[in-house]
Amino acid sequence: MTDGSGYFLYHSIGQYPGKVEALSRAMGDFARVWGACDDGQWAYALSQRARFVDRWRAIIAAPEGSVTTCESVTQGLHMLLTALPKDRLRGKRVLVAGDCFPSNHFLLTGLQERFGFTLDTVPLRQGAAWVEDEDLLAAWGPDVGLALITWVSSTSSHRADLGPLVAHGRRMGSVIGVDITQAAGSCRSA
Amino acid sequence: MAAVASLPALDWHAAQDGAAMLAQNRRMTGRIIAVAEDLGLALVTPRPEAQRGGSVMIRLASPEAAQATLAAFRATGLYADARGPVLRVSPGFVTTDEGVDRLIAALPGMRA
Repeated sequence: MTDGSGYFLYHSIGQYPGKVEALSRAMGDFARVWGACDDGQWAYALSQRARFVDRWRAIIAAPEGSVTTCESVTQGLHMLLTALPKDRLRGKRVLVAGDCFPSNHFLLTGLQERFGFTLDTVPLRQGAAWVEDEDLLAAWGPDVGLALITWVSSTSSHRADLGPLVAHGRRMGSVIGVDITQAAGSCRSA
Repeated sequence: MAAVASLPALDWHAAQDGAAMLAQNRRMTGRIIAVAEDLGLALVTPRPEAQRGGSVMIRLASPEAAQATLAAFRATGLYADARGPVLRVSPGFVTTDEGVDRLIAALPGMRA
């Protein structure tokens, strides 16, 4: 039975009515433009990308000129790190919760030596399924150059209370990243 | 190309009533959580709505138990996934109350 009634994968691929038909049309349009023997490819591709960016700006209420694209959450984190001023993180801690997206943690672990930071992973309490916000706050001092907050965890669906966390991070002078993957377009932040 | 492929979904999403979609998810996840609690299943997800997103995670005995559960789900037209022993279910727009009924009917079998 694939009528969608028993579809419970909205944390992953997701579904909407008419998806096969709409996606087929979009891919067909792309093929017709990209395969045409003319010079219309880049105007089409760039306009589609711009529309994609605008849809995302509306979802997250981001101002024009502040959003770009990436291939994955982890690549996006890598882009953020490599865009920071040289040595911005050297000698600093990078703070992350132990229930963050695993590939993000893998990336941060691997970049410590190259960027000169110490990765500090706030652990889950014994027997707990998520990292408590208060534990993240307790570990977050003025020596934290970058903190990565996971808004909704992919392993528990626990939702962090962003308001107090971001306010604290700003007082500490940290660059703050928020992984919104599991809740963008659904939940509202503070 | 990823942007082109994603645009139909984003266009669809922009036309929806976000509050209604969230309410549907809350209603469905609330039902699942209530039954899972009654059955004594190992809920990994916080109970209060304000402390959770749109998914319900349940810890099973082992990764193998989770995969066996997913296989049993597929046989009745239920589609979810797992990370190790943790089953993840996330209802959304196309999920129906009847589909949630089928999922709930399968929950007692996860107690073993």
